[in-house]
Amino acid sequence: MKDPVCGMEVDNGDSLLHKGKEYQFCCASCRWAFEKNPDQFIES
Amino acid sequence: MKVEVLTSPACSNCKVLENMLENLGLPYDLIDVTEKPEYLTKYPIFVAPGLVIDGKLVFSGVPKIKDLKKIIQ
Repeated sequence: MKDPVCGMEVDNGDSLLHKGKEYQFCCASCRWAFEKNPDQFIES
Repeated sequence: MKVEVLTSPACSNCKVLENMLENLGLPYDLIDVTEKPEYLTKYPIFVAPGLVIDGKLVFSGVPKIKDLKKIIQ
């Protein structure tokens, strides 16, 4: 799965469920950015 | 309008944002936060790039181009 913030491919990364969809992150920093403003990183 | 891009060494996404700003014809200052850590005190970001416009942190991470255009209008 692709980290929506940095674009890195991650397997078994730190995951988060947002609006029914699972996202995975390479690190806590990317998760922080996503949680701060999810719409910035979600494909519309 | 004063535009600053907070960057770090080897930050590939920073280049993405820089290209966006260049395509929009917007001049900016590049701030390497590893050289100027005081910027992190002022703008507490955990990911690069950070985009600061007129002293306000508007994005951390690469913004969508449409959101960037909205902000600079």
